[in-house]
Amino acid sequence: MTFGNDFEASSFSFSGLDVSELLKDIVSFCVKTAEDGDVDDVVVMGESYKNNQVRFAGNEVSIVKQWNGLKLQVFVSCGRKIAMTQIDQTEKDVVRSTVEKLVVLCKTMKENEGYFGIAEGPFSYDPIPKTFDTKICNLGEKAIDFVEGGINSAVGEGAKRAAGVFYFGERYYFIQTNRGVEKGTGGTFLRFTIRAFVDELSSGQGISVSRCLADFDAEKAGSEAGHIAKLGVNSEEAKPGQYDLLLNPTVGATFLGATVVAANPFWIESGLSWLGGKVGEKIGSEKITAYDDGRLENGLKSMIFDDEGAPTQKTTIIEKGILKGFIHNTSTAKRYNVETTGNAGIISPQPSNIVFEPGDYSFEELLNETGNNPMLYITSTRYTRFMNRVEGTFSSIPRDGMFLIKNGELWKPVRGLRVSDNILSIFKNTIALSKERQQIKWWEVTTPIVSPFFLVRDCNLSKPTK
Amino acid sequence: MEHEDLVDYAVEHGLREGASYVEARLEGVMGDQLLLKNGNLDVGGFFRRYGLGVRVLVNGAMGFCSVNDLSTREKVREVVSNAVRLARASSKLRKEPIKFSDVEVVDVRYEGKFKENVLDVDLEEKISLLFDVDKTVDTDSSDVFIPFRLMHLLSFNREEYLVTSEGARVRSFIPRVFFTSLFTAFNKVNNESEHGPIQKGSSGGWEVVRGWDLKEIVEREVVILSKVLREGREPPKGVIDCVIGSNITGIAAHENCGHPSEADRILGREGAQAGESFLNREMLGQRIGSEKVTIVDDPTLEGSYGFYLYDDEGVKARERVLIDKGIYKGMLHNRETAYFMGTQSNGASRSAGYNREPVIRMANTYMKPGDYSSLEELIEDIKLGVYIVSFTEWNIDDRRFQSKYGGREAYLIDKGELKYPVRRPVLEITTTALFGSIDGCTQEVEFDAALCGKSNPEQIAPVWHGGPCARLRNVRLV
Repeated sequence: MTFGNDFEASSFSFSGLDVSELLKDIVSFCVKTAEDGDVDDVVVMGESYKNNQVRFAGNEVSIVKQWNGLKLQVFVSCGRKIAMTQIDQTEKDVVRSTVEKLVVLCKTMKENEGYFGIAEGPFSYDPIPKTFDTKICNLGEKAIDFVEGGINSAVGEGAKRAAGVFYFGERYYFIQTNRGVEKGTGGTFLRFTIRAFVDELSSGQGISVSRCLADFDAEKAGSEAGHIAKLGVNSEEAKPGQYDLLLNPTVGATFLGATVVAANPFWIESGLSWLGGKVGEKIGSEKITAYDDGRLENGLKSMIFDDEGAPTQKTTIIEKGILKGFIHNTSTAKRYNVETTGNAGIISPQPSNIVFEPGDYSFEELLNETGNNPMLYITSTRYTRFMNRVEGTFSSIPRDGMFLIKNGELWKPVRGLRVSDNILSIFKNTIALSKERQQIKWWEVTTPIVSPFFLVRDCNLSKPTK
Repeated sequence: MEHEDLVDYAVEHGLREGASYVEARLEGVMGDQLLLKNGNLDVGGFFRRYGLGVRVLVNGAMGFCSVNDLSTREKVREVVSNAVRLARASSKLRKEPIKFSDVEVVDVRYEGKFKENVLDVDLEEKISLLFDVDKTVDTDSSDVFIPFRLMHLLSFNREEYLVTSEGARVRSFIPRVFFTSLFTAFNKVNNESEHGPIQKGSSGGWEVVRGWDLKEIVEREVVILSKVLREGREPPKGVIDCVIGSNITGIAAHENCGHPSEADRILGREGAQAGESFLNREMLGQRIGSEKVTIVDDPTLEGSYGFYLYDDEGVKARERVLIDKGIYKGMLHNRETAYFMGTQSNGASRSAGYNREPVIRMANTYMKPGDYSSLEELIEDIKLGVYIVSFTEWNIDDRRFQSKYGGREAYLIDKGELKYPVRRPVLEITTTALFGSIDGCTQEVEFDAALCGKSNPEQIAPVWHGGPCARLRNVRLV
């Protein structure tokens, strides 16, 4: 038996079951059933998982959860007619009838003119370091200790109460296509988000995410949340207007990460992206270089193959402010006359891990980069919504500690503002990035993003007029 | 449903393992969906979700496990034992034991009404419907073109069997249909663009979709987009009167009233994700809006997208009054929050699937009608104002106090009459100012369907929100 994130899988233990054989067997059965139906392409991705969650609030555990399951994603095509389904049972009669029904359905569909097949294997795959840790598989009830550690750290910084969520688990995948792909992989993850409160209006957030226990630090996240909450006590209502914004990695992942995530042909063809027709254009500061990296060491979405079985890779999206290209699956790549970037989603390409190259500033140096506007440090934001996604017109509501900066220090906690601007303007007006970076994924940031601190000039902030 | 015996077994086994309360819920969802993008059928397919979720109380702590492999009793036994073990382990981090309010134990079966089972309708008919709607749209007029057109059609049946260790048994079957589209139009002269989203949803069978007249609905939206792009002008600045359409009174009822009335938010359980609330127990009975504002949440509305008659804790659903003539009147409760606050659950506990814990959710939240017979009567004394019919952008802070609604279809009101379209008027206003500014509403209430997100992992709940047209005095548009 080999682990890492790559297994040829004859057998491994998962809740005492020989799941890999079960997974392989049922995936192969699906593929054969579809092939018997005379389809042109078939992709079956099987996933078995054992995920766990501890939710807490008011310094105590609200609920502990565990999910055990197996699911199969089945895709078939007949010519350019395509159909998909998901099966969550392993009984072969159910699987057979479902796949047969899918094949019949596929033949009744209308042609998808944008469909150009799936990746042609076979491929070779290299393992990705730091994506599997057996210590996470064996974490069990010790997870409560991590939660307790995070809460105690927040309280130690002065917080009165803390709420949050701790996810951890293991997932295994087996993919088989009729185009030469047959491969298994697996991985583990840890995701901890904590929000600390001193009072109703003084809060802070901390995040720690990782694929392995050694790089995970719930106590640090708790300390950060508690520290920000404490600094935010006695905040004042701020005035609307133009500010320079210092964004921590959480907020940077939301505002700057959005543009990298939007480099998706499906979004562009759907009127959901502000990047249509802009490849080769300078869309942002030359300080910004960002890529999608499906093979990122310790990356939360790192995996050796995509949903077509194509090997994942590192794809440059922004280089020194210039939009270099998009992520692709086989069909969108054909439509754009490029090669797949290993980002299938069969219908829509999916980003993996977004990575911003670090800048050359320390946090203290960023605090001292004063300009013509008052400078505001934002530590969290949520509810980012767009008035127009083609333009990038949006607004978002900072929450938790927000601070006016004066003389290179956090001067005064403030509240009550909304960032109401254009997402591309923020990209263009970024003047400095920090050396320090953090991998972010939480409720507001669904794609993992390795983000530095960003300093952005001339941002518009609004607030209620009544 | 198949496997009902395993639900009973799960409850029995949980009690044997030492749980003081066990709740097991078997859920099966069958449905199909289609995505038409720019006149091209991007994908079609069907889906099935089937499994068992078990929630337990042990030593005052809560555990939840789910499984979708129901092939043997052993698999269910393992899951229930895990839930009990996890709850027991976490009880060391409970200061106060979780307890549930009392509830009438029921043994019931109910169905959402339907005539034509959505799964009996050929997918070809559904495909044809989307293509027909797309062909209806004038995508390339002399001055406006609409290159981006997304349409998604979802139809599904949801069946549940709930058993609690207190003896409750609830069997339900609810069919639902949901249509959503996003059209993006461009002005050919200046390349300016606007989005036009549509969401329609109901409980019921395919007869509901037949009754919608999607062609007319989409065509109207396209006409509005074109008109706004061709003729839209800057909205007036300064303090004016503003009338909001049911689309906006509805979203405000949901965001500014429904969410902050959720007792789990008020108690901090959603603090790290969805957020908390500006409301609290001490504010019950206080005025937070004008006497013209009454907002309720009612799951029992027949045909509504948020329809249910018993919640996922087996509590009978009923209308909940949240704001009564401007007075903050009540919260949405599950059994846990109700016990904590010394009251009874009002049946707001819902789960998005067998693999999700039930949490407090809205169902159909709306502002009650007023006494103005028409929009014309509502605006007749406005010298200068704006009528915002619908919104595109919206957001609100996590305490649900600072809201923003960015208008899509909107018109200038000049001396009591509607004039030209105005583009993107923005109402950025606090909850109390919004509800406090309303001095009149029309008699007719309209609803929109929506998908409400909450909890962690995020659970998407089908809801309606709605209301009449409402007049706001002396507000400032951004």
